[in-house]
Amino acid sequence: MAEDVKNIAVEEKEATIAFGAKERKLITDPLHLNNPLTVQVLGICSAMAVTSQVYPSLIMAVAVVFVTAFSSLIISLLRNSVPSSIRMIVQLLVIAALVQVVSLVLGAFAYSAYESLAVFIGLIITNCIVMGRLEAFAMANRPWQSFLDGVGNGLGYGFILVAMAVIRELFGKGTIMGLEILNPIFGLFGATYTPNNLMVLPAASLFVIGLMIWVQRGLDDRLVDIS
Amino acid sequence: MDSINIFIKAAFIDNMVLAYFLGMCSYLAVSKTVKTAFGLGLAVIFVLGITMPINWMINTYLLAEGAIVEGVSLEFLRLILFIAVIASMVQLVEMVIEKASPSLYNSLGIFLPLITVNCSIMGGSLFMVSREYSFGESVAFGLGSGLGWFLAIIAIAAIREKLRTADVPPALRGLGIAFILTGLMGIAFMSLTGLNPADFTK
Amino acid sequence: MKKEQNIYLYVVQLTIVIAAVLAGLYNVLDPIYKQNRNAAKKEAILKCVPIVKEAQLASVADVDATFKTNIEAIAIKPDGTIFKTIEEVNAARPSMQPYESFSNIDLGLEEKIDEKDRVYPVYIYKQEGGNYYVVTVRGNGLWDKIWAFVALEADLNTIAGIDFGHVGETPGLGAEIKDSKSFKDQFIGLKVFKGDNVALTIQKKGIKDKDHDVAVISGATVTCNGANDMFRSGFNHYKAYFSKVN
Repeated sequence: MAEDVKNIAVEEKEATIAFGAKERKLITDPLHLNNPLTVQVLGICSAMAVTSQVYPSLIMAVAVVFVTAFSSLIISLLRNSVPSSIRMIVQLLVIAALVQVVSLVLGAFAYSAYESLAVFIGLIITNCIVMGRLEAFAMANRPWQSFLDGVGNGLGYGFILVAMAVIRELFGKGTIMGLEILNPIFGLFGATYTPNNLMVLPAASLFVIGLMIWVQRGLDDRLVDIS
Repeated sequence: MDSINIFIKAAFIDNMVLAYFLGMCSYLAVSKTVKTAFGLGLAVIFVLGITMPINWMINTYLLAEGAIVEGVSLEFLRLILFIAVIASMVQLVEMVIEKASPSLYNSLGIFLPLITVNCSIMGGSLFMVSREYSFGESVAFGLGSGLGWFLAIIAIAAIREKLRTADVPPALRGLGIAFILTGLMGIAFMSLTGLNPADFTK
Repeated sequence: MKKEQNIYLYVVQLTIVIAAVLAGLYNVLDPIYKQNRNAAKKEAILKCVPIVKEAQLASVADVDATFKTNIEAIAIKPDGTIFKTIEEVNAARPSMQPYESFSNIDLGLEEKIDEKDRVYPVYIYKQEGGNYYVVTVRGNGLWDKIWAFVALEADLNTIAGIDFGHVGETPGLGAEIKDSKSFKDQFIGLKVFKGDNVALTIQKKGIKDKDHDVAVISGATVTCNGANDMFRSGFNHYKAYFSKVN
């Protein structure tokens, strides 16, 4: 940590806002090679509970992107003034405030999603992705880069969340976003789709994410766990 | 009697990990060996048991509508105060243990900071609010969910120790198989859902 | 020492800024949230009434308007006492927090006081040729509270529509009481009472009494048992009132 802080002064002299190859990497890396859910294994808790349907997962994904992006930005702006002994508390304060903002906004403008997500929105605070990125990146990088890193990690998380939700809702209910998908397709062959209730159970999210890790690591040897 | 029921329910039936899947991050990260899992489990029981009653008092005497000034609700500060209590309690517990028992500190110490971001602690406090527990019940709920979390992490750690000699496909090794295992344990635990300890004492 | 002072100052400043921002947002957004919550409840009540069309529930304002023009709300006590205005309810119970309107009556709070002091709301959908009466029942599911709004026809026995709600039943199992339309459709046309007793039951072992039985949701036995208990105790609270009306 201490060495990182010393490096800042050097970096500070570079251009402030740019969107070059380096910045693009900040966004794309967390989508696959450094995905917060399947590779870094952060923020699992909320992924389990909300992914039985696509709509709440989308809302959750947007909420997480918002919180990671803006907490990274704010912490990065404050990074030189925060006394190091209380930096954890400051980080938590900022995150908690942003989460509260999200929860107020959702309650006012997306009531039905808020009802089904209530406790889990609060749990974004303890979503390790947010804290983890603040410690690992925002405390040592300039605001614009930190913001992009936050967006990237939020998106990487949200992408897996929505992908899980699509799988679970499609097979568990035969629908996506409440639209009948499988029944019309099966109907072409004169059959009806029987929903697979296992996919709707909370435990199914663990199977789905386990299988996703299997596929991802199977395709890319760099990610295989050697230990 | 109610408190005992809530304790048993929180530990075995509404288990934080296997029924609600909360606190998964540290559950997966620190379950490679039984020894470390044991340490983290103890720390979680400790912190849950302490923060729950404190958060209960904060929620009832500070945040509830009309608690300080008639008609004013400070609900919007709930998340901030809860996490502040958890973070400072963890810090405090760490300092006390360091002074009082260096040997316990050596085995527990490194896990304590991890607990701040363990969602089962925050989740427990939020559940306590939404279920409207009384003070005694919140103590029982805190200790019970801590015990449940402890048992769950010991169980998965023991399984993972055995798995090291098993022939798991390379891409599934480590995390992948741990996820699938937890899913199976969760499904096994579903057979306990709906048991009501109160029915046995009637 | 100076450094330590700085830390305290920093924390205090940060806390004040954050609290101010949140308090501002809360004051703006919380009224909208409360309005949404009220509208969601009113929508659930109106949804059970079969003649209400979806277009009448399109937006928060539509829900409010439909509720206002068609519903006459009253509150009753288990002994049959009728309150025509919410002021009467509040005056009768000076020790309780006063309610703003009938649709604000919180059954969760009511459950905490003595049964004979509780009040239960009845929403009467006025129309020629027989009113609909929407009553609320509340009980315990597997994880947490469950409740239902039930619209009864003018005979105060035949179910015209039902809408369930729950806090945290398992998706795909217990939560189906709310999500499954085919489950809720089974209730329509059934009778609540048989003689003097509540006979409406979710049956585990096949439908025996086709006037009172509903088929169970597989895998959701506990939620369904909870719903049965909820029907038993819930409808009993309205019995004295029902016999008064008929």
